[in-house]
Amino acid sequence: MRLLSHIIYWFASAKTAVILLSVILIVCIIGVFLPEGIQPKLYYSVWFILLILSLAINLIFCSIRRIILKSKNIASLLTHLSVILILLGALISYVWAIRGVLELEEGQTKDRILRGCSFYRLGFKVRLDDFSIAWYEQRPQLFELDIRIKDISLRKRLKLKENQQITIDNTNYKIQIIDYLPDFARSEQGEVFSRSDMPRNPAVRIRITTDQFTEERWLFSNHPMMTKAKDENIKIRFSWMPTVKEFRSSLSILDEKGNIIAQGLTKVNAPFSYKGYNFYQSGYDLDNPYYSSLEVVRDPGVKFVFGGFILLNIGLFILFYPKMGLPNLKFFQR
Amino acid sequence: MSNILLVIALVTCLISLCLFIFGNTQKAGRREKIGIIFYKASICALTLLIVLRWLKAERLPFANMYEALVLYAWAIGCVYLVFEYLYKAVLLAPFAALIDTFLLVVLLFQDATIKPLMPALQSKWMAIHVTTYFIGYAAITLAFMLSVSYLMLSRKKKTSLLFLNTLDNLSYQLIIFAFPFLTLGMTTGSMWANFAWGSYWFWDPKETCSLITWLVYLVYLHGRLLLGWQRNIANWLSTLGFVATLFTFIGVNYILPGLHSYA
Repeated sequence: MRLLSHIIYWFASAKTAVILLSVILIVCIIGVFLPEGIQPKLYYSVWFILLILSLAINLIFCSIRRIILKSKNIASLLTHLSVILILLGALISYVWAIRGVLELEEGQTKDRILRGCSFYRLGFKVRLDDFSIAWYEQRPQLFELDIRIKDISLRKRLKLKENQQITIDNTNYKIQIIDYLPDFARSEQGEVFSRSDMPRNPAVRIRITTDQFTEERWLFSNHPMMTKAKDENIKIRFSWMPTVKEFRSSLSILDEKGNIIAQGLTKVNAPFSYKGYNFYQSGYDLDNPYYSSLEVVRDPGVKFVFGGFILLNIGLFILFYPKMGLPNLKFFQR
Repeated sequence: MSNILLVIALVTCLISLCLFIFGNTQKAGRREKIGIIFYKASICALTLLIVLRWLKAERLPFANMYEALVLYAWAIGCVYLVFEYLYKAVLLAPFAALIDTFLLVVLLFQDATIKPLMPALQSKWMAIHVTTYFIGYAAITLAFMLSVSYLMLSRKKKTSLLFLNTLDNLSYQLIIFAFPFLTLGMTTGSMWANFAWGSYWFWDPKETCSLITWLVYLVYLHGRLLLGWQRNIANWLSTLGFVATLFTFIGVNYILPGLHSYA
């Protein structure tokens, strides 16, 4: 009995809280410097979970003590209870959350997701009706060319518009951009064309003119080594990284017989929800414009965690900013 | 235009810093008053810089290192103004001017081109997540500077106890001010991650580092409020907390790979 009361007393003390928090802190510091693959083993190991559990017990005992002692500091109690709620939510997520990957091509229907190494049945079918990627720009406004001329050891970066001709300083080299293809490809007959409007393989055709000769060559931003050059003295690189603006999937939910029961759109930061399952747009494949990868999650712990977050923030602002919404600094006024 | 504003902010900040250096540290005189005016001018220039960039970029300018550092410098100014307005804490001005001068010099060498936002960053959560974090960071930066001053001055026998107490208490108040903002920043970040990627916690290095920072200040507050920690131990913890913050803000981006590698 005495031992039990000792344990309860130990768990209900602020000193214990500080010790537990410090230990968790040290473990996290060690964890950050561990190789990426090993980190999850640390954070999901039994003893780390036991450590968090001890903190939860500590929080519960401290809160009970406050209630018994009829502490008037409601805000402080609220913050501690909210952390318990967050930890409870995390536990629910750990035990009951379902998450997996769903890879679809346009028109394809699937009824299961890849969860770890096995498949998990959703209980309904998901069809990808449409997938699209949008870029900020289909073509650069200014073409950036990095130029290196070997014999005079010259390095220069040029920025030029299409068809604009520029003479490189102190040389007789003239550079002009004569064509641009966002998605360069070559047919079997050797003709060049653009497979699509998407800047998946941006290429520019440039004309190099000197007093002696004229040369034209293709430059590829994704494949700088692919360029065939006649004049080895001048090396030119075209660099451009188009930024993806948005990618989205239109989904249909089908029942066993294939009837549509729900439809929706998912994009980054705006998941589509159906029966507690959230479909997050997670990836695309530049080589296959019809492919979409989705993260499918059903996590009953989220509500608790978010509720805890909201209460924690309210509690802290009430606790720390008691007057006029700001801390009490009376002692500082002279 | 933004370059001119940056130079104006730097020059005014530097002038204010010089006035503080050649003034009396423990009592506000005429030089300090002029110094404060120059420092406020610097904050105004930074405010204008942010607003103009916001209008030009047509999005909140909080997305890369240049924009983050401008926001950081500006937030330090704002925290100073709050503390000056409410508590006449003019003691903070030289510290704020020092750190802002440093940040503005660093900014001169940063890439200022406006880049479009990648899909994950296009969210309303960004506004609250980033601003709350930077207000918190600004306050703990000032708290750190006071703590370091405390630790250095407490070894000298000449320093008055009243001045040391003021440093210690003001550092504590800054941490109290910062903590709810750090919490709001971390929790909104976590909620945002859940909307964008489907999980509220990944144990990503940036997340873990932000948790470490939060835990350091949590230990600090519990130690100070419940166990009566003051003076040396509290100020060492405040220093440690800032080191953790610095690592979270800058170190992680350059050393450890992860979800936040863009900002």
